[in-house]
Amino acid sequence: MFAEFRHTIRRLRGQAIGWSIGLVFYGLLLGSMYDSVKDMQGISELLESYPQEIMAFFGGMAEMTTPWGYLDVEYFTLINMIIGIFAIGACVNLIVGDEEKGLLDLVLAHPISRSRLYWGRLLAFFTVITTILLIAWLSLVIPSSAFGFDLTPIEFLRPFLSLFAITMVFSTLALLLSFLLPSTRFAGMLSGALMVINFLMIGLSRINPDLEPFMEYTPMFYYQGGGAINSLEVGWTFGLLTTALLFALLAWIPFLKRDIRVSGEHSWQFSPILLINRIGKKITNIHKTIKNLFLKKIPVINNEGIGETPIRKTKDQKKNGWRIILLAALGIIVFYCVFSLIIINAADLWCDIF
Amino acid sequence: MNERSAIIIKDLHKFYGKVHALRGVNLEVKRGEMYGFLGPNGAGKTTTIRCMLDLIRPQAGSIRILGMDPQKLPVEVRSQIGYLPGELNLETNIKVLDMLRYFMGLRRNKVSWDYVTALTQRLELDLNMPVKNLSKGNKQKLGLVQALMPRAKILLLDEPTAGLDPLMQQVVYKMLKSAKAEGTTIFFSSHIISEVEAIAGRVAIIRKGIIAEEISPSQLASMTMRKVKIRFRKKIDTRPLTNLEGISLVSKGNGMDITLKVEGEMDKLIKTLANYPVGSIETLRHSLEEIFLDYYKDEEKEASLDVC
Repeated sequence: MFAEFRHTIRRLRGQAIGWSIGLVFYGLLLGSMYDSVKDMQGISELLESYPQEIMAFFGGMAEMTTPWGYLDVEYFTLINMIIGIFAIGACVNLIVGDEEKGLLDLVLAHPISRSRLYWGRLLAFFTVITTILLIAWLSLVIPSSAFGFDLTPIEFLRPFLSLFAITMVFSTLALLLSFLLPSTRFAGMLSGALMVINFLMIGLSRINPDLEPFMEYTPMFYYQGGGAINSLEVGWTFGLLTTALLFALLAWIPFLKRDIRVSGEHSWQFSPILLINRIGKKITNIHKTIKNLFLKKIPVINNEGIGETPIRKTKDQKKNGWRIILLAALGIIVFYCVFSLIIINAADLWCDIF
Repeated sequence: MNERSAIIIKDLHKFYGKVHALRGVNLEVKRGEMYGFLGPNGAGKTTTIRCMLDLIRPQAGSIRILGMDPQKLPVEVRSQIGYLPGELNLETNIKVLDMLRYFMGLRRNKVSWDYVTALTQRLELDLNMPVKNLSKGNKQKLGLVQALMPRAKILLLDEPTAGLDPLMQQVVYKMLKSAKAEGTTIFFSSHIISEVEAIAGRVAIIRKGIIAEEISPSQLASMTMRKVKIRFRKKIDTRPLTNLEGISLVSKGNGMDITLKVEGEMDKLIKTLANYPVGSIETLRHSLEEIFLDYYKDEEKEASLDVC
């Protein structure tokens, strides 16, 4: 496992250095501007003149002159998206990306178990993300007194813990989807879309309180951002991490038994997909029934003169293929929301009790 | 379980969706044997090898590698195997040296680095070269080094000399022969008949997912055919040539150029040609695919007649 861990770190180090440098500059730039915002005359009047919708969307804007309010709005509202893009991209390529490129065949022909490969790579990814966040944290902590932030390193650390947890949720979700969906591109796209939509919906729910009950079903609701500087909801953070762990387990178990694809092989067949494969014929029959519902049956006379209804792809059928894909995607989204809610609430309850 | 057997495959079946890729493969390779595995494209060679490595799981049948089941003891089985894939895909942003060190790490550093450098020197492979700058032949050399470096008990080589120049092919043959002399079992697939003739002790022919025949290299040689292109200085009557035993006409140009198919030895043809004004002779050996097509043509005809 150590060989795989070290090799993955080596592969990710270039990206990690790039993202770390970017985040350091981002932190330094925003930190250096805090002094001027804090002492700005009439900032409260300016903010009050903003439309209520904008104020609500960015959460703590009313408290922009406080360190936590400033960091919440300027830093922690967007950094989860920035780091999320890297995390999703890295995670979808962590194993399935190599499989698509045909690299996994040679690696798995060596005496390394699939579990060691999987956890070695995942552990390396966690290490890289932790390092990036640690560097970002240091870029705020070290010059904090010069920037005028009156915060301790622990207070700075709390939102980073929440950030780490939410990043883990979306990256392990991307990993899971990369095993379920026919291509890493599709998995990355769907995970990224889920993250961005979740982010936007959280913002909108602050404008429209009617949306708020629904947001509890999404993981981004449990990301505290700069609000964690004052107090970190340990239950929420723990819940997010547990969700991430369960996503990772859900991806790992089927990886142990499935066929390693040769490079270039992709399939939208439902049967080989891990979990569905377990349920086996029943699901395949449902799949066939759905497929037949959308198929156009065209009578054809074969050599023996018998009328048959072979499967033939029509334009309608292609559209229907997309409908099935969208239905599957919708199913995944619903599963993911309900699953997240149950885990996070259970973890939160557990933390409250103990 | 026969202790003298390195590989035993019994009634192996593998489906890819609706495609029945392996339809009951049976074979046995003895320890220390050099076993050629031949077949046309899509016959199931790579699928069989990937099943042996537990990269894919068969639906039915059994595999024993040195007495172990790859599905139950994949790591133990793979620790005894050196593998060269037919389609060698390698990471590009890495040096040859680092790549080999990584492969050593996967084998828990149970590989002698001196032996690795000796292999790279013998194959003239530059350790400091980035993989992305390697030619196809050099990538193949890297693949060979990683397969040979553990001094495994079994070598599974899918097209071992693909992309190598003839001189380097000879070097590889020598390396494989010396590995065999050390007791290594070599199971390889190839498309090059001369290669199979040169190094294999026994040959299995797989066709449509089933072992069609198991033969010796000399039997394989007798299956081989040649095409002979002859250009005459003037128009001639070709009948005396085409009437010879084992010779048939493939094409006839303007009466001065003919192409013949020769089965077996060429002695009679050459002696007959001595009576003709020959401008030039060009001999082409059939590819393995052409031999298979030709060899199984009659069988397929019979099969189609049976269906009708």
